[in-house]
This record gives sequence, C-alpha cells and structure tokens, in this order.
Amino acid sequence: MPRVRFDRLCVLLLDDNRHMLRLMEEILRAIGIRNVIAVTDAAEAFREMRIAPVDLAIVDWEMTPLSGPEFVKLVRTAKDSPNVFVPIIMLTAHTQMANVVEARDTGINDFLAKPVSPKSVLRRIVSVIGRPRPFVRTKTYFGPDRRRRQLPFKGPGRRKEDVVADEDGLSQDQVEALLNG
Amino acid sequence: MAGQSEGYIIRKNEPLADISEESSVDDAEMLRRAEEAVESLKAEYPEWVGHHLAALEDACRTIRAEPEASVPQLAAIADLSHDVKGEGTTYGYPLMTQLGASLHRFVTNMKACSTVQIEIIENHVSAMRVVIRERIEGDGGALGHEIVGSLEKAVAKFKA
Repeated sequence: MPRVRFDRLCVLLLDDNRHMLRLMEEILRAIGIRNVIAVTDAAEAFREMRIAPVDLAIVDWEMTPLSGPEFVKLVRTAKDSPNVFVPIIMLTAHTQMANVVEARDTGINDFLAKPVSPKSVLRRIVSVIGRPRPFVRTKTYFGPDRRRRQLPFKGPGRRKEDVVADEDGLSQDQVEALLNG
Repeated sequence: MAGQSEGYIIRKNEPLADISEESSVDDAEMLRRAEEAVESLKAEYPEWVGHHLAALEDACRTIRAEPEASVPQLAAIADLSHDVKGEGTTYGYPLMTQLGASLHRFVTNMKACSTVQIEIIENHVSAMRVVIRERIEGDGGALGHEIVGSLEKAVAKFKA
C-alpha cells in the first residue's frame, strides 16, 4: 500500500453539523493533514473547490438543502463542476445496504460509517488516495469504476453468504466488504 | 456494471505521484495523536450537547403553549435529534445516538402533535438529560437498556 504524504494533501470537509465537522478536522490535522477546508453547505463547497486544489472531499450524507448524494451527483455530472474526478468519501450513519448501493451509484469512491474513529478515517483516506480507481462512463453512470466485485442490486438475500444487512445497517467492515471486495 | 454496454474508461486515475511513496498503512504515532485529539473533544461533549437538549426542551414548551405552531417546532426537533443521533456514539455516548435515533424516527413527517405525542417527545429528551447528567457512557448496562426499552415500548404502543 502506498504511503500518503498527508502533509501535502488538501481535504475538503462538508457537513452541516459543526460538531462533527470539528471532530473530523481534529482527526485530519492530527494525522498530519495541514490543509483542511471545513464547510457547512454545498454551495460553499463548490466555491472552495473552484479556488483550492482539493485532493479529497469527505461529505456527510444527510444535509439540507442539498444532501450528500445530491452533492456528489452534481460534482460528477454538472457542466460547471469544479472537478468531476475529485475523490469523494461519503460519511454517514445510513449504512443499510440500499443506502450503500445508492451512495455507490452516485459516484463516491468510498464510504465511512459512523461512528468514526481515527483508524477508520486513516484507512479510508489511504485506500482512496493510495488505490485510486479509474473512472468509467456509461449511459447511466459516471464515476469510479464499481467493478471490484459483483454487487446485488435487489435487496438483501442474494449474497447472504457474504454480508448480512439488518435494519440497524452495515458495519464499516461490512461496507468495505461490499464496496471493495 | 457487468452487462451494461457502451461503458468505457475515460481516464485512468493514476496515484497522485507527488504525494505517494511505498510504506505501511498504519502509523501508530499518527493514530495515537488523533485518538488524543478525539478524547479531548469527547470531554467537552456533555457541555455542548446540553445546548441541543435545551433547544429540544424549548421546542417542547412552545408546542405545549402554542399547538398551532407545532410544525416548525417539530422540524427543529427532527434536526436536533438528527444531530444528537449522529454525534452520540462518536463522542462515547451510544445511548444518546439510540435516543436521538428513536426521537428522530418518531417525529419525522409528524405534522401535528397530540398530548400523547408531546409526552413521548418529552420523555425522550428527559432520558437524554439523565444520560448526560449521570455521564452514562457505553450502553449504560441494565439502566441503559431500561431507558431505551421503555421509550421504544411507548412509541410502539402509540403507533399500534
């Protein structure tokens, strides 16, 4: 696994909860990321992405007026997107299988399940930056290649031997197994 | 993706060469620093979550005093409970996440608030106060299960 020079990364944090934003910022700075841009809404995020060389965006799922998945879709597909290729990690407690698949299909690179820990944050960043995926365009999708493994599209049950989704959602390990193979 | 036609790779995403070199993934010292930073923030949690609880209590009082003004207050309760849900476990209080999640589920899409409903909301907020006042971290053991269980029963009974 390649080593990431955290001191040279520029990371954008997007979350409308200021306390989570602060926690994430503390974690990122503690692991050596000096250039952290923390914003609370999508419009501000777009503005920052136009003027700063953002290497990675960590985006919360549930926000208003624009949700995380809606923001990701805009980044990937809007004509005036500041950077359609920017790596994006979705941060959320919504780890039910349907949500993971939905987030994946908006074009995220990876998923970070709450509650976060410094270890889970570090591993996600190293995975996304150290193992970047090629981008793929189809009629219905633009984003990181999703073909690391065949994923079920129709609810739980087809891959019972791999992952069991319950109403409380998947754990970070289960999400990683589902997304990354 | 398999089976979809006309897909193509439009750019192979090369590693960011100026910031990548071979090494190990985990850095114990880096993680230790980050854990220390998180612990420091965790110590502040009971104080600032108190502001969320005060806002929830204000919303409940407004609903009781002005039932016709329920809709914006219920929206505020939904937002605040969502925040509590998202923050609790990360800051070492998973019971707060459970209570926040239960309250958020209960008020989502609620357009009016009966006496029974406002009581259930207030009971959730009171439970959160107990958790914070008594510093009940983790799952709270038997007490924690009792707190969450009784609220879930009340909600289930209301919805039955």
